[in-house]
Amino acid sequence: MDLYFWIFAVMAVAAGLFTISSWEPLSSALGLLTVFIALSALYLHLHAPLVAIFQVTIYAGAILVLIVFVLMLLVSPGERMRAIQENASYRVMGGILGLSMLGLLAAGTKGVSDLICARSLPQGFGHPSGFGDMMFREYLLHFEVVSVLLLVALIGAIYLAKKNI
Amino acid sequence: MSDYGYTFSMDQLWQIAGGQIILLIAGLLLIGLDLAWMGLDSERRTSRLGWVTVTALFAALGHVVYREWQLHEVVFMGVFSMEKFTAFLTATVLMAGIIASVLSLNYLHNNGRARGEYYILLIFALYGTVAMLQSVDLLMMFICLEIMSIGVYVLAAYLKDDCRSQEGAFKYFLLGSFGSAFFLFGLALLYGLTGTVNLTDMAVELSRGLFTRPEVLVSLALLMAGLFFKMAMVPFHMWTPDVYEGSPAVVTGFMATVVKAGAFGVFVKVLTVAFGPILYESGQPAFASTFHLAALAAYWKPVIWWISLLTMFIGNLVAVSQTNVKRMLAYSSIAHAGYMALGILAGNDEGRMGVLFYLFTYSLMNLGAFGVLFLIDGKERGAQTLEDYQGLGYRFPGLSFLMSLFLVAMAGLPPTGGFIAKFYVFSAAIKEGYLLLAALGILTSAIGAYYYLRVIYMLYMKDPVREVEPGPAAFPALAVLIAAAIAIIYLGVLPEDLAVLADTAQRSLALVF
Repeated sequence: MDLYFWIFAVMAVAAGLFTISSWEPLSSALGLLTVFIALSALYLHLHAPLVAIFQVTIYAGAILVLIVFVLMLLVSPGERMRAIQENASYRVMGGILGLSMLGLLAAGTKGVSDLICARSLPQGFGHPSGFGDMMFREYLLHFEVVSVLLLVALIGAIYLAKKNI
Repeated sequence: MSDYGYTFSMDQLWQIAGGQIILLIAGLLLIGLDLAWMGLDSERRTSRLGWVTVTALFAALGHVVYREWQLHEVVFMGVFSMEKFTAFLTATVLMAGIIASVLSLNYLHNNGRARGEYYILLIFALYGTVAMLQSVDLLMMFICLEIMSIGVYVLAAYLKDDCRSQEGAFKYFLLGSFGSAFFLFGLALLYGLTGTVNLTDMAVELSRGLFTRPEVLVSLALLMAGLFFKMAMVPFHMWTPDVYEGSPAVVTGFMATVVKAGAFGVFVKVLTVAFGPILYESGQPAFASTFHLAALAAYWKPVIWWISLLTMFIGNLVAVSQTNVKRMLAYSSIAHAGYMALGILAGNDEGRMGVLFYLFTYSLMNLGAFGVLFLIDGKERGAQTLEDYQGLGYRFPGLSFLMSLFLVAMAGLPPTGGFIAKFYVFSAAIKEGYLLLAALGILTSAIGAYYYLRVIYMLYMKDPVREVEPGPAAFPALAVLIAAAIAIIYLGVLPEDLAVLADTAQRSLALVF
């Protein structure tokens, strides 16, 4: 049994369930953060450190921070926040999150691949240069077409969101 | 299998993917023109943008049809292909796009909602559909599916101050994203199993023994579920009625034809190329092992059998109880997807030919019906119920006649292309021994005739109860509708030409490499 995988897989699924079942938007956002962290741990496990870093910086670092900012603007922090702070289950959740973050850091410094099992992987697997090579050689067209996808989404979002258009 | 010795060649890109390049350039051009013509009032600006769109679509259609006959290599970098199957469907989709954009000119004018974004989104949605049809690569298919879907989600929400349009679009967005997630899961699983996203490489990898593993079936099921959402097959049809009723009528027509044709084309391609023995027929030694994939049919055929049956029954039965003509047409489009699935189920040459023929005629008659519907409507949701249609036959003979013709074609009555299309798919299913399903299908088609003909009954044999004021019909829109009507009758009388084309097109599926 691969313990490392199971810890983070269960964590991701449980946090995902918590995200969609929670009534409080802020705790939903934190649940989502947990999902992202657990996923990045799984990517590390898959010998893909670059994807793990992307996951943490882009999803956990940028997108989630944005979500939390918006929530903080909408939700006035008052008595409601105090109730959340005193909720025991959230404290436990936070504790687990913090501990797993620590564990993740420790595992990252030690090198997850050595911890679990040595696999025979192609030379340079998971290396940023290999990643870029693949992206701009085999998946060049995909990469270009994704930009069209973003453009369409942008136009659509502006049309729908702007009042006087 | 990763022998990607591909080099990027501009010339080849233009030869094979020229149609979508034209659409892409036109889409970017429209964004610029929308800004450049800021000085004009929005009505005139939008109609100019509309004509630019129509021109670009004609150019793309011309490119696809003309280039197709002199292509030596049909696959570009293992991602885009332009064999005759794709060319046929691309031409169908572009034709539907042309009809929809010409009708849109009139629709936007009648509703006083002319905005440049409409055509920008329309052309990008078409770009996504064409690129999706051209992909022979599951990842590219997914990206293009999303381009198409996002374009159509926003078009569905185009009437911003109309609650139903918003509600429908939101349902479509949520359920559509859910469906896309299924597709993505299936794709990820297959990539994990085979290590490739290219359909032909995947077929070879699978046939070397992988295909006996249950994961392959799971991933096929996930891919199918994702595409069934877009095709609006029962039980993945829940979004259809609300979305089709809420969206602007022309967009509904666009969704019911372009999106459906795209999803069907991709579905046939994935099912026959990656999970079927068709590559074996090309006789190339590299594909000899794909012969084994025929064993998979034992698993997917019963599924499509049931889904096709349910789609035909539920679509037709629920349509009977509708009083809103637009909603009724939504259920009827579900039912049509069921008939087309019969052709896929048959899985033989004739079945695939039938599906292509059906998609072509269905695009004409469905867009035609929605075109007349919005003209009678005046303003969106002005006159859509059966009650409103009472007695229109004598006040507006032209529109009523066109509506009747399109409905008769949808019901599948003889002098129209709708009959021939149904005939092809049913005969293909009977040939493969699906007698019971074909009999039940014909039964549902009789149910269908009831509600289609009821509209005609309302038009001609009832006295009007309410004053209905159709919107002004400009010449281009009428010309397009009349052309569609003539084409439907032509296809009903002389279907051979198109049938031969469709047959050549489906045969080329064996040549995707």
